[in-house]
Amino acid sequence: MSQSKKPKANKLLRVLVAGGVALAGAAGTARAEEKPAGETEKAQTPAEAAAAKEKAKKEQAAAKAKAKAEAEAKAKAAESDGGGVKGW
Amino acid sequence: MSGAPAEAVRAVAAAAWRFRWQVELEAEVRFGRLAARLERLGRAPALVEVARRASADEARHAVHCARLAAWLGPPVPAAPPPPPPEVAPSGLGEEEAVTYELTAACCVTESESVAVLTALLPEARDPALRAALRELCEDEVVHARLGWAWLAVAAARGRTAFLGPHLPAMLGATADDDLFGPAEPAREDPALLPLGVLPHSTKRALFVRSLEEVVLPGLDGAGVETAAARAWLAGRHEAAPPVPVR
Repeated sequence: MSQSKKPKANKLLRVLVAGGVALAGAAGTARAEEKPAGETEKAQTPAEAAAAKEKAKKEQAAAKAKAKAEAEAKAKAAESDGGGVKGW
Repeated sequence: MSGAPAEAVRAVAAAAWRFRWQVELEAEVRFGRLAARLERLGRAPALVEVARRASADEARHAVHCARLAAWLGPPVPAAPPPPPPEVAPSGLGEEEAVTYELTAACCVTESESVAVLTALLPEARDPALRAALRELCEDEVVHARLGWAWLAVAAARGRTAFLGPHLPAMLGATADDDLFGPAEPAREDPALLPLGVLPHSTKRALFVRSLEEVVLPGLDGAGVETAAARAWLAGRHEAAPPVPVR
């Protein structure tokens, strides 16, 4: 295979890494994490309070599920120092 | 360099596609698991769907790999491989474990896969092989981006630095066991290229180059200390035999 047919690494850096960062930005995820909380803590209407209560309930359930998942992941990885994923 | 018997070259290519079939099925399971874990974490809802689609993509890829393996040699086993283990080290919390797994699976492995597929595409003459490689390459770009996107999310929260000390183990387990060693002549034969397989030393050179020029700079940009990874790579690369002259 000739050198010229190899992929241009800088192009890959742009396509993959910058593309991924753009994906995070487009999804609003990276920026959302940086925004300070607080807006939602202003005076609430009854509907908002009910929604907040429901949200708290969901978060509690999610925390429970998270703890369970963490325990499972730890059990699976208990004998591992960290591995990798084989590919092409 | 050439001269390995055509049958031996074909057998090497068949084994490579059979291995890829296994890798793709494992990736299907891994991405499915990661989608569920990302959903539970709730930090990047848009990426959950990307992970779900990646899982479906990998199932489709496995079909292509099985077909190409059977074209070149014996069919793949009827039974799928067992589910792959999670690769994060013990002691990490769930969010860090997901970050580790996405870094290993996407930022490293899928990025490397894109480099391999991009190198193979111009060499493929068979239209069906070429179409499969193109389809896989387009999907793997998205899969790699999933990892880089999550890493951006984690970096924005200042939760990527823990990865640095783990990188040598991660990279060591990602590389083929014999990637930095010599290979028999059939695995170095350029006749592998039109069958969709890189000769051994070309694969090694591309692995190193992709790490140096794509993966490690990407990790640097996400706030991961890569000195240990670079030292690991330098040690392996120096010990590797030279690329055969053709």
